[in-house]
Amino acid sequence: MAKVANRALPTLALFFGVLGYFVTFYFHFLTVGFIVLSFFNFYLLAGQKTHTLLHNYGILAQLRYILESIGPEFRQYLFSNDTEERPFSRVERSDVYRKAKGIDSSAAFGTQKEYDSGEIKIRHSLFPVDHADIEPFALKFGEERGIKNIHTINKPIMISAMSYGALGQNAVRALARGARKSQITMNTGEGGYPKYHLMEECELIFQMGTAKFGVRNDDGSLNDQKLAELSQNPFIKMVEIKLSQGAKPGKGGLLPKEKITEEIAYLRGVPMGRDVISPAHHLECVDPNSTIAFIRRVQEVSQLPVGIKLCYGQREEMRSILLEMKKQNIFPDYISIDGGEGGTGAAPKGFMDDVGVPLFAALPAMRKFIAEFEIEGRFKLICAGKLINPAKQFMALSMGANACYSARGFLLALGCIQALQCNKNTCPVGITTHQAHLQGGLDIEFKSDRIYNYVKALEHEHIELLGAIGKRRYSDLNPSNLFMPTSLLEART
Amino acid sequence: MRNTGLWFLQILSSIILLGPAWSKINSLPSSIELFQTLGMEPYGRIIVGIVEAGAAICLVLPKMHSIGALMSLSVMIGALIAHTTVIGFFHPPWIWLMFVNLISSTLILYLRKDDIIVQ
Repeated sequence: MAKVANRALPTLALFFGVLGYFVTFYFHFLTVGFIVLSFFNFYLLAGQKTHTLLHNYGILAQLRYILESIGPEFRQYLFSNDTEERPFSRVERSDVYRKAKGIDSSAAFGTQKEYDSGEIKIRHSLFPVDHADIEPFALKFGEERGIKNIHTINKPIMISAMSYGALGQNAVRALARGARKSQITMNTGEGGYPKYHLMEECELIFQMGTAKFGVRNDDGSLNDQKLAELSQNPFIKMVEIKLSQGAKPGKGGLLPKEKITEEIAYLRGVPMGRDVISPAHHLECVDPNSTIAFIRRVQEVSQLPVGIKLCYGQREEMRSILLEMKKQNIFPDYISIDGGEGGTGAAPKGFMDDVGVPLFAALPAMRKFIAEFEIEGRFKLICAGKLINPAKQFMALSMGANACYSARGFLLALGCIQALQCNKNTCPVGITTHQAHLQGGLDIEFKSDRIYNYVKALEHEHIELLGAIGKRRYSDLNPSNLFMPTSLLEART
Repeated sequence: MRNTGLWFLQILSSIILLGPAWSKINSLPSSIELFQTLGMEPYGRIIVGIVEAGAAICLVLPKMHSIGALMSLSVMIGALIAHTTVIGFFHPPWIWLMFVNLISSTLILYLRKDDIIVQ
């Protein structure tokens, strides 16, 4: 085939050249085309040695690369069925889109999922509770320590950590404005001073990553004064110390150089032109003792509720840090468990795919420790990891979480099409990019309404689910609400 | 250095293309005569004129340099065929610019080959 193509190109050039000479000069349009292709083919076959396939098969191999490069789009639009895409199938995404657009998200003719005993399911009650009897949700962070600046959330869902840098300014502002409209709390991500988050005056959790952008000294240690000043801002309601994240547990944050603008470099205090890789751990946190001391320091400096975010890893480490907290009687105000499934963050594929314990295995393990050490009620438990729909959120809440974080759910509500280009600054819907022409299509006001609709729909389904389970309060949810597949139960024991 | 050289070549090719594109699109008598000789008057002249103008613009537009060079090279190969088989090399007097542009466009494409080869 390749040999035929290699000979056909110059032959066709010659053929049309003859026609151009004897019939009409217009044929030379084709002559020129085939001459150019022949030269290109010759270069691939003989002029380059970088690609074996191109060297051996010339322009035919080039066709193969072209088809491969457009493969993801073809698969997404034409060939993948509604339930097989990852990380979110078309069915899951469509559900969020419909909720965000405020249109009917009911389905018909049965589930498209494999409904068998291999998945976690929610157990309904024979005696559902009327919606009118369901008590409103309220969770108070910091109440355990009796601090002045308690932060109360009235919905069990918050926007997870996404920094300005990872997202463009329009996306950040649309999310923040949507958060304000829906009265939910939003995490700033580890992007330094949250300039665009603050513009929309929503309630914020300031996240401090291992590089401590925005509150760091030159050596990477915490600058107490900067943190104290930031904590004075009336919209910063809590501080979160990120110890690790699900996308790349055990590694620091990563912002690809393609996404570093002058403003981002300024806000974070980093140079342009190279990837910004945060350290794998906080300078101050090297063992349970030092980590607890750091948590206490941040609590004292900020005078706000302070949480830690981590991806569940080694069991013994978690045991020892919780035991040490109990021994010293110092607890964070919340612990956020990030599932190892990965999220919006750019990460090495190996880390994303295979490092970190999945959320639905980590949560019960945490609850087991909490019960064993009798530290129930000393801190809140938040969780994150593909919790984009109400049922998954209810599974997490039943397993012991007090509230849920979602990042990608809100990105889908903003219009994310799962193009998987978050790390390339080429997001086609203007969310994870800083290119002005791509961000141009993301109207802040319009998209913030999508966030509002999404939260409203989640809240509505939450109440319906709570009633169906037969509970009046979110705090009544427990693992007995869930059907656990035998395989998961065996793994746990 | 490489960038400066590329920009020099791109601007050079762009300027060289502007003259003939102008004369073809504006139906100057010399162009009409040329394309009558080729039997392509008027459509061939207009098509080639538009391609030349497009190439001249693309050559200096960000992210379009390679496409501009490809269009420019194609037109120059066509011109070479025309002069070799029908018109001859005696007129117009600035015919040597065609060879300059041919070499310049080829060099641009070679130096920007990574923009063209899908890998």
